[in-house]
Amino acid sequence: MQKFFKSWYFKVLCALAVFAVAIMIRAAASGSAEVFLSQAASVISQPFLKISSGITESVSGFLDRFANAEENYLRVQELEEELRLANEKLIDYEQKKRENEQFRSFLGLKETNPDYEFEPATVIGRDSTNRFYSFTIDKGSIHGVEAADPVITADGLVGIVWEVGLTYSHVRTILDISVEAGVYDISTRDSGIITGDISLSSEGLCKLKYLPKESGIANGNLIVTSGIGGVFPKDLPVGTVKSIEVDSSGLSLTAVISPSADIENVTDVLVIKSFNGQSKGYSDSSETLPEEGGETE
Amino acid sequence: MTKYLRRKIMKFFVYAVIVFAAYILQTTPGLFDFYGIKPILVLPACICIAVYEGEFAGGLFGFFFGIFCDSGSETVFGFNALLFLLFCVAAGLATIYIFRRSTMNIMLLCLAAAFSRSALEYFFGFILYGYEELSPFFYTEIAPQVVFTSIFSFPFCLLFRWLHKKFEPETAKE
Repeated sequence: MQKFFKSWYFKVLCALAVFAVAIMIRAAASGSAEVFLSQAASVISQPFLKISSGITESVSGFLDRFANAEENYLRVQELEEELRLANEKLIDYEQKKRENEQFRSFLGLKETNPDYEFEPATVIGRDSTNRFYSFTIDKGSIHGVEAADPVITADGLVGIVWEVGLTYSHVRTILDISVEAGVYDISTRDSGIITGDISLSSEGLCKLKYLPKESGIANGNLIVTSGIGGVFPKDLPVGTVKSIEVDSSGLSLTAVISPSADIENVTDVLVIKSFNGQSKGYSDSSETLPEEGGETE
Repeated sequence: MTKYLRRKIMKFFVYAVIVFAAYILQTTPGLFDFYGIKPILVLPACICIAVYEGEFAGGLFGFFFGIFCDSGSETVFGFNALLFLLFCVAAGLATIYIFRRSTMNIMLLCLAAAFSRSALEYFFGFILYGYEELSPFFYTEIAPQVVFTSIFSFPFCLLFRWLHKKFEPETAKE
């Protein structure tokens, strides 16, 4: 063993360990990765990740047809039942029509918000060490993507661009405990802050905090972004209320939210590069990373 | 360039391709994903290199591929590079001075390394921040990933053992 400690191998390994500690301290202090090393690793791996995710997607799509035959059969039965129920619901046509108009206004985001500048992106990486379904997209600073740009799908808000490289960006989702957004209930107009929760994230759910105790919020209510703070545009669908409970302090309500977007399996997203009222005022430091809710308080 | 040197360069090139492929596979969305749990494939691959090629080669592989893992990870940049380097050096030295180079020992080394990495991540990333209700998170997310990672050390062990023998100098085989 002493031979090893006296060898030049040991000195080289010590130098690397010291270097690793140095970049850790630098990254922790600045809140961002060591730019050259991080970008070099991403640039090398990105083409392979694109190929790999493309192959996986097409192969799993093909296999799913066979693997999920029973599930598909049950799904058909379920849909037939839904169709029967839908026919019954035609009686409430007028009420549903009004609701449909409400939902349509969200789905037609692009038509109704000409100020949005979109950048379509593909999910090319989901690292196994990420706990909150964070992912990497194939668009970066050369495509005009910047840190804190909102990331959405046609179904609703997915998350926010956290780090930007030349040709890639890391996105943190609304299931992440470090991401917060100011939102409100479209029915009751009660506002709160949506954020990830350690115990809920594995089920693909997040929580809505700081709702007034006297709020009339109910299960199934639609939650949208408030737009205050300028990080997210106003009225982006976030999710629906799944359950409500009184906060541990007893002073406010907390709701469990089922996100509108399929965050766990999302493969294609839209980055909103700019919108009216967007705030670009925060630095790239982790101390001031996007906490729209924080800014509203 | 001697035949021996050419063989050695070829061997480490093949190792690098395998570990890089492991990184691509562990990062690809939807691949090796069991109920949201994905294994860290790079760690057992680097430990196997440390066991078969020594602590220096293992340490270098651990450091460089730890950097790759850091580039897509939520942890502080350099966290994986430092830990993979230390684990690989420790695994290499342990194989020389303490353990036999058996499959079971390699799997145990991978289990210990994966557990240590996850425990440190759990401590520095979650416990220190004072998040509530962390126990279920440990049992449902972190522990299964440790077990999952250790299971994958078995095929890596077989692969690297085979490659090690394949690239062994002719004289050593005799």
